[in-house]
Amino acid sequence: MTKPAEPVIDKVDGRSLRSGFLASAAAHPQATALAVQGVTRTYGELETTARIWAQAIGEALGRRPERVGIFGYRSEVSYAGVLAALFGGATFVPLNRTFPPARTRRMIEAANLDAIIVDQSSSVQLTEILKGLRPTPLLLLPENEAREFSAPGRVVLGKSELAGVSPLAALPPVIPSDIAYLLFTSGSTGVPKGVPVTHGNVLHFIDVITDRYGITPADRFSQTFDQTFDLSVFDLFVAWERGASVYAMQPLELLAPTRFVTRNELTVWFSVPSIPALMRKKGFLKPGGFPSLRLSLFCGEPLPVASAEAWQQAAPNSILENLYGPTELTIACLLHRWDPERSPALCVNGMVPIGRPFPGLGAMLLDDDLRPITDGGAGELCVCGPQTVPGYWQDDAKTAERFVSVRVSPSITVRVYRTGDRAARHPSGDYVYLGRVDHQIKVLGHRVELGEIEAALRADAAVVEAIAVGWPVEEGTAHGIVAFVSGSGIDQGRLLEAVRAKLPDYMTPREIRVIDTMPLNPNGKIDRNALQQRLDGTR
Amino acid sequence: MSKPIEAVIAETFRISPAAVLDTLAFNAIPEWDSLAHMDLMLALEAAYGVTIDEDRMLELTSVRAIREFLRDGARGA
Repeated sequence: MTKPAEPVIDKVDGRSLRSGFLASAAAHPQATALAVQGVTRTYGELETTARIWAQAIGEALGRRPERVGIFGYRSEVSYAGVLAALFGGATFVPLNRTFPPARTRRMIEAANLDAIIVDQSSSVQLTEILKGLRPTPLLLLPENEAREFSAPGRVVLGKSELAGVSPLAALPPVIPSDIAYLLFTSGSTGVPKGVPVTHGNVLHFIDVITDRYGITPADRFSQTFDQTFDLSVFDLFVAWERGASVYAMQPLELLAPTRFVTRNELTVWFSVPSIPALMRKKGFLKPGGFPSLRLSLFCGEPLPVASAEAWQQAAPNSILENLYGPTELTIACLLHRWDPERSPALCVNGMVPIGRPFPGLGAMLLDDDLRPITDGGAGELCVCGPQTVPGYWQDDAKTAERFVSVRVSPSITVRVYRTGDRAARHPSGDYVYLGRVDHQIKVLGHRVELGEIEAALRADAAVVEAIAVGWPVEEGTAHGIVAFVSGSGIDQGRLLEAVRAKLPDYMTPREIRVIDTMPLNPNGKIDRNALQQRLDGTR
Repeated sequence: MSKPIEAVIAETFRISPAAVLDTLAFNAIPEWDSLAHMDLMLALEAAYGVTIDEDRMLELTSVRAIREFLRDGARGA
């Protein structure tokens, strides 16, 4: 059977993820776009660098690249590389040297990359990653000499090769249905799932955010997220859309950020809630510590009320908002503005609400059979609208499972993404997060919401973080609960007694383990699987 | 008598005390990543009764720096 010919699409360039940067660079070429470890780059400098790399890649390939990997870690190369891919009309695919090399190789294979842009700190892994990889993508190493990595059948462009290249003048056109970036999220089966996000998806997000927060060229953004985490797209492209500057933070600075925020007079902070939790534990979150912040945003995991309160005191001049959203719905899709008067009454299990959908998006609660939940009860949060991505990368079966059609009136059907998150809707219209659908487990036949146990543990003032897992699991059903807690000055016996007074027997942990810090996954979220494995290892 | 620095560091990172040389530094081994660094700061505070603030935490990124801090800190106390 012959493969049907793919249509040739006539493209005329319009707005896309790169157009905001280009407009800002045209308006303020001397303004600071990026600061990495004390070195700043203007919009003009960053644009020229990225155009040179885009030209070099296109020339060496002899065609427009489809997908370009960015193998860099919080470096000038890792940020300019993203722009170079977009300028060349390609999808950027972030890679991460803190991931196991075998995982990076699987991502490169799955994404079928044409080229990889590599920074010096990541280049040390390159030889191992490329072992057995056929064909080898074009390698662009702006901080290395090409000969360090040359091999038969491999095209390598290093420092010397880039020296004579002139900047790409005419950028290949991009349309809203083109893929801006392809990210891999951890799949429950252990195989990374690719999530392709279109320019149209991400432009909707950027427009909502820049309008809501009135971002200006005077703003200075934190860059806290690894680039393999889609929230990093906010840091870069919301800032660049309006001519603001981005301050990349190194891992240690994330844990002790006060000096960094103060010295750089950051105005916008965006991180996972684990950071304020760690700071609270260490006593680093001091009232008035962040006077320069005007906007503090948290996303990626539930935000504890205590962290919101402590951060608000540390950043008294700041609006504080809790954002919610999976990669499949483009960075974030619901939000709640923390209000010290109004918000506490809306909190459930000691967690700040995830709020209401962004303008232009729709949210609903559905049961397992995709029927609407109308009685105020809990259900799976499903979201529709222009930020819903086209589906999973080369996985039609998984796409059909998570992206479904729901009839909302006799004549209208909408395409929704099933988040896998359990939520409830407060009469105010604010949604509250209750846990993962699959964190509702059965313990000896009883339905148990792990989030409720964790909330009971966190009610103790000494506890900062608490995670409950079903354990031991035998023949697919949990026989009990084991809890992990972190904080300072925790009295295990007293804690267990307090929890026992609140929860039925089958929900009371049979054991509470105190640990210094929770294991985090590469995105900085608490890694439940690692905790489960600790228990499995002790059997 | 308080525990030797090597023991506290080795226990925190779950590595051999013999590997705790003065030149060992943050990020030089996979076991000493940023979260483990936070664990280490808490462990040092618990073991030696010192207080480590944010700026200090960013400085204590090698065994040598930790040793010097504890020696000078003890003298100052």
